[in-house]
Amino acid sequence: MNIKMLKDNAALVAGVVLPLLLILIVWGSQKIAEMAVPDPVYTLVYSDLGTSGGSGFFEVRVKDGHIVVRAKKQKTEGNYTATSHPTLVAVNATTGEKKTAELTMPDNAVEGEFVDMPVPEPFASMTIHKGDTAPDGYTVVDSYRFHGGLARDVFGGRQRGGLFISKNGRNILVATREPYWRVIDVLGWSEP
Amino acid sequence: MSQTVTTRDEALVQILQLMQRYGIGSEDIREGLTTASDKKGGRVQTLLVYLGAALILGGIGTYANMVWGNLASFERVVVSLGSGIVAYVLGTLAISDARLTRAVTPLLAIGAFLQTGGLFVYLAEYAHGGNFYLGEMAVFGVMAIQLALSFWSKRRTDLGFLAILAFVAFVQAALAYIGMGGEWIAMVLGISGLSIAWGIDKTPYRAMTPFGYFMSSAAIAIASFDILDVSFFTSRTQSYGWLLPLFSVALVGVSVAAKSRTALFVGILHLFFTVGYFTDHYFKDAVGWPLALIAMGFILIGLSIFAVRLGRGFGKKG
Repeated sequence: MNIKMLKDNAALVAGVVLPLLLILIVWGSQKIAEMAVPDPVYTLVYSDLGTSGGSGFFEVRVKDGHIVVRAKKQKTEGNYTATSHPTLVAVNATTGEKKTAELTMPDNAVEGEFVDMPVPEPFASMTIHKGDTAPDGYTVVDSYRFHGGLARDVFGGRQRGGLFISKNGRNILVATREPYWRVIDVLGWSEP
Repeated sequence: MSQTVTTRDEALVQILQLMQRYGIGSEDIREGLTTASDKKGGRVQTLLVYLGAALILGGIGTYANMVWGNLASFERVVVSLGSGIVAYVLGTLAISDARLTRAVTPLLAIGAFLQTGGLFVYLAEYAHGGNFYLGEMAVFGVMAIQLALSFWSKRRTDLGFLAILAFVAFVQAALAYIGMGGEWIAMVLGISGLSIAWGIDKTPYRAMTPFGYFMSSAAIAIASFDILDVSFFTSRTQSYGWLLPLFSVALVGVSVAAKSRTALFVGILHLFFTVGYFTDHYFKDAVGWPLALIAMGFILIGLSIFAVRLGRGFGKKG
């Protein structure tokens, strides 16, 4: 392979090399941005109510810096069966440590009416900063953006992403969203 | 060459001299000896052979599907990846055997397809977690390198075509991995594909370029609507649809420069949709929908005449 051969096939070489160059440049700039941004300090806390209508049985929110969970039995659908295991999740993006606690229907649950239920540990003792942005500046980004469009359907990209935390160009994948209709609600950020 | 031939050996010598002088090969002689009925019978035979091969493959696939649940991980990999490697090796060996010329392309294509699937099966069975696109990059990267090396060694159009397909799939996965949206991935692949097709058009492997021009222009055409946020079904507040004609002109321009009918087809189709979009969004309420439709009909007829005339100027190219 010599210079003349490359010149004779300039279009072919450009078609192969330029996309690879683009990938390298974008990937490299992302890596540089990642190195310049410090690791996240706070732990992201969210509820994953699954795909089988867990959101109709459990209500999870943050009140006065603490997680509150309420549950109810459905009037029309009979007894609740946990097909997708509604869960509370805490992820430390720096260490990759993940804590989970499954939500189970309490004995005192009433049909058609939400009642308070005990929050499982370690989530009960956590102090939560409510909202999408942590005190250290990291923000939750849900990468699933379904705008529609043929190109997005055929060529993919971003749609298979999930829950990221992001700061100044550094993006850390925290959870995948498969399938896309999973009910994932961000509760806030736990103190380190 | 008018000397009288009396013996068999003399006739053979004269035949060889004639073949050498006029560049006649053994294939040409075989072709000349084949009668019309032989050719017709050969076509029927070929059709039956292909049909039989398709049924055998279908049977193997159905059987594999039936017993898939009972297979262990290693067996699944052997069934998928192993079959792919065997078909690919057979295809590569068949290249050097003149009797198996027609079997080469199907064997290579099936081999490459099964190998790709087999590598995905391997990842599904033995690799857990991680980014989905990294897995895609690994599979298509390996396939692109293997097919490119095969092409480098054998210099066959089908191998070059398969290598480019694997390369495009690798780039698609890599662009998705770095977070690019589907519409921009389509645009990058489209421009890259046009450039590759343009380059290949000047080589002996140009048989694949009409497909390349078609797919690349189609990717650009589809991406243009998404990038400019144009929709026929919903009203978007921030649409850049007025830029659509630029893409139509660019696609038709590329087709003229490359003398490609397939790219011209896509360019004209893009122009049709652009005219439709403009009629729908800007003239529908002004002159009434039926009148707008009639006007659009005349414009489309004019465009089709223009396209046919332009296509005639491309000669015999695809």
